[in-house]
Amino acid sequence: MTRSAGTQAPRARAGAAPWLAEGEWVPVLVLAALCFLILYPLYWIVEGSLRVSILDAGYTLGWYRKVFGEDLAATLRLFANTLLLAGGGTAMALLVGTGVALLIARTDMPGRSLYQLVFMGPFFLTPMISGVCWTLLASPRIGILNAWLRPLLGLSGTTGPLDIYSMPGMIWVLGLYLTPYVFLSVAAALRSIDPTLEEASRMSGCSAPRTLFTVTLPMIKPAILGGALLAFVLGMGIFGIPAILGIPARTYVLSTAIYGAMAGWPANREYACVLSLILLGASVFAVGLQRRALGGRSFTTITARGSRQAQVELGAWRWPIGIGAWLIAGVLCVMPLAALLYAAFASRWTASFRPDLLTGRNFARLPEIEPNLIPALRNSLFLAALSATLVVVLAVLLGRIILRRRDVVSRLIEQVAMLPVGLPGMVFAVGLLAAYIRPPLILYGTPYILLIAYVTLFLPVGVRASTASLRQLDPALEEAGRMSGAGALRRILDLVAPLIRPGMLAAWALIFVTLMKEFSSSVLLGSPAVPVNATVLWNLWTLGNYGALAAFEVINTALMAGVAGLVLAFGGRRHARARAA
Amino acid sequence: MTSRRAVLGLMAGAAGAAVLPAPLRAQELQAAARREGRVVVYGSWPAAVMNRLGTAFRAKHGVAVEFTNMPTSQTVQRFVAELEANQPNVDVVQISDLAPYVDFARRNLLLAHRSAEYAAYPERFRDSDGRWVVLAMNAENMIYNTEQVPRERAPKDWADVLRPEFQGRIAAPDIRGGGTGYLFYYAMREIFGVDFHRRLGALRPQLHVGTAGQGQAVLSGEAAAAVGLLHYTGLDLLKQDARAPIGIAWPEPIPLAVRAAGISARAPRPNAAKLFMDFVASDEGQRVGVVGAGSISPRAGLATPGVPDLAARRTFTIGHDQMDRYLQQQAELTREFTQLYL
Repeated sequence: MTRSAGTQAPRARAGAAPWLAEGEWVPVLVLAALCFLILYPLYWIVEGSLRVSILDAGYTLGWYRKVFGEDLAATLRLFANTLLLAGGGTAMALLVGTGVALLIARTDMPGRSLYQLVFMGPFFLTPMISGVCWTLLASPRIGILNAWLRPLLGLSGTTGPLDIYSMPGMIWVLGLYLTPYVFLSVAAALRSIDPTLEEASRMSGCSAPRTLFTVTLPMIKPAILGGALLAFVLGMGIFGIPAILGIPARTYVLSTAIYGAMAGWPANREYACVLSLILLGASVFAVGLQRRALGGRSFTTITARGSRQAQVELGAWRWPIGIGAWLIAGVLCVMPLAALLYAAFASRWTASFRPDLLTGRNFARLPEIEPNLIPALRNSLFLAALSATLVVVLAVLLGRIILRRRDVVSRLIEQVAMLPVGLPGMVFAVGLLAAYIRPPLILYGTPYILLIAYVTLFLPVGVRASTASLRQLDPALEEAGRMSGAGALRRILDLVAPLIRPGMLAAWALIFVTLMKEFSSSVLLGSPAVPVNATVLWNLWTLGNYGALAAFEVINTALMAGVAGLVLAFGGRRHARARAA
Repeated sequence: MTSRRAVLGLMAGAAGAAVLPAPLRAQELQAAARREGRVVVYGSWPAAVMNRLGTAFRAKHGVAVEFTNMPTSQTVQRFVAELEANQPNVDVVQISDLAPYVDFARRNLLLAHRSAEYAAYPERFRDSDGRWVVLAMNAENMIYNTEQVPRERAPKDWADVLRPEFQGRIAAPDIRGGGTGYLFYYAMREIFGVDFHRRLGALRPQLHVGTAGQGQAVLSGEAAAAVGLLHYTGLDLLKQDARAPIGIAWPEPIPLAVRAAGISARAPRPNAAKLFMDFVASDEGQRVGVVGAGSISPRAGLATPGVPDLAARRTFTIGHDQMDRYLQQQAELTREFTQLYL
């Protein structure tokens, strides 16, 4: 039976929603493993926040007194800016991501498949490069968009009207970067839910918009909130965009202040650790808020009965809506990618398009400038794919515990699994280094440290996706499997996995793409024997060769888009066939 | 408490290890280095430079160089973490800042190496016990966009960028972005007084972390000029495209940022490390890894293409004897910077 969205679910009964193994010890063991994986590196960050200095023995509360005492006004300003940036970026990602997901999954808009890939475009760029691309488009003096807009709007002067070096500019770029987190989560949920309720609503005379707001959106609330939560928490810790767009305009957020604290000498790693703990606290608070918002309500919309996709036919509006949507995609996604392509093929960056500067030299010289180019791409590809797969498998197991057992242990598992997401990579990497350079588990200097770092860092993304997907699954499905004599593993592989495949493949793609660009942990923990993309990025950045950097980004983006696109397309077809059957 | 014990233990152990029994002769050193097989180097020097150095070093001595390229802050984190955890792996540490070496040397975290090659370096650029040595320098200069700044208005002196026409059009380093930014702030304040920063701050410059961003801002035309960026930025832009609208000025005194290196007191391969340091400090190593990469050698008689003869120019450097004052003022000057520029 389908329970409608928003009804109170009965508390989980023993045996009603079986776990992989019914023993009570399993969740406790999982929690213990998670604590080691996540809380142990975090311990070293807390320890770092109490150290006198990186070279001095002894502990002090002095850094806390500085952050929350003498520098309180500055801390509050940083925190307010961080909240504004992450909140604004999340709001934009919610609006655009949900809108695009609805267009793709619920309408017959022309070119939907390609539209999905185009909206993933900005996400393939590293945040720093994304910021740099937007400076070409919308910096006040030389931005190409400003050069077009000034005569169009009859404006005199040599600057504006757009200024990417501002808080609205940062929110714009961050929002675009975060959009796939919401979009993929919502699109997967829309593809998974049973359309019977939407059809019933329309047959009862409700208009399409009313059905959308009273039936569709409430049903996918976990996916929307899950995507928004991830976007918000990631937005708080992001560094590249505020570094490129915020610092020139003197707008600082916690992540840029943390970078500043760690960059100079004496390195204020301890101060950076205290600031990072503020981000950690904010992410714990955000997870709590989300849990409260979803409460004990059931969002079960995938039942034992088969279903097919519901689609709204746009009729006469099909082409106007399609053209409008593609125009928006052009501004939001195609332009920054075009700016990147121009930078990759130009001998230097210019304010206006100069065909005489086009050259293939940036690509041709890449192997000479960076001898590790091919090994780095190969290693990153392997490590990202393996880590993403491990995260997805672990996340499904964790998600089942979190949702099927509503006790203290499951709540702790959910909270602990989400902790790393709010921390800036450069600080969490310090914790990981301290954790795995000493007993009991010395992984320092081996490729395994990168693998474990990647899995730890991206477990929250997987857990968000798995809980959002599993929340929609009717426990009766597994109950039926159990009564038919299927074992726990078979039930997961044959019943659960096919139904949550869209959500988990979307998560896989997100993690894979993000790891292909991961910088902080890769640089600090990597070894010369295993060069990864971060090594290449750092090398090209220090050389100040933006043309070669852009060429590398183009290659990496094509690789990421190819792999992620293949996986999503393959998964989508398999899922459609499974649903139809 | 583990880390506390580890740090204290390290210092006690290192104090003994840092004293060399007697210098090995060149051939003995080479043989010992070959037995160790490789030298592990962490540093912020560009990988292309290190690859060139590594190839030349291996060809000459038959010892491989394993280089991990990372930012200065990560290099320091990793070096200290290895020592604390008693898992030393690095032999040679190279970073773009002198200040950490002075601290490291005081705490006996670096090995004393009385290299004959170091004698060719000015005293202010090396530790008296050979625990560290400045192996390369980069001048902080000024670039401007030749399409935006008429030739007759091109800045030549530091004070020229304080003209009102540069309001909002200067790319300046953020003092909090690392050693380069702080050196520029400190040098200008020492030379011209705080008024220089008061006036530059009033022009609302674009702030940048990292010298590459300043160069791109001028190249694209978003900024008309940039100050306090490392000299190779402008030269590299012209090397990448000779038609780039970049003009370079060398106002005096020229602040010199340094790249130093030292051997870890707990280096697992101390002989390979010493041989490598000797090579990089030698005339041959300097030609391959410093002058060839566009940086400036502290050794006399090695000219870098595109860089004026610094012996004939006034320069500004922070010697290790001035380092305490330089560092002690950092917190106060950072506060001052935020008041004047933000």
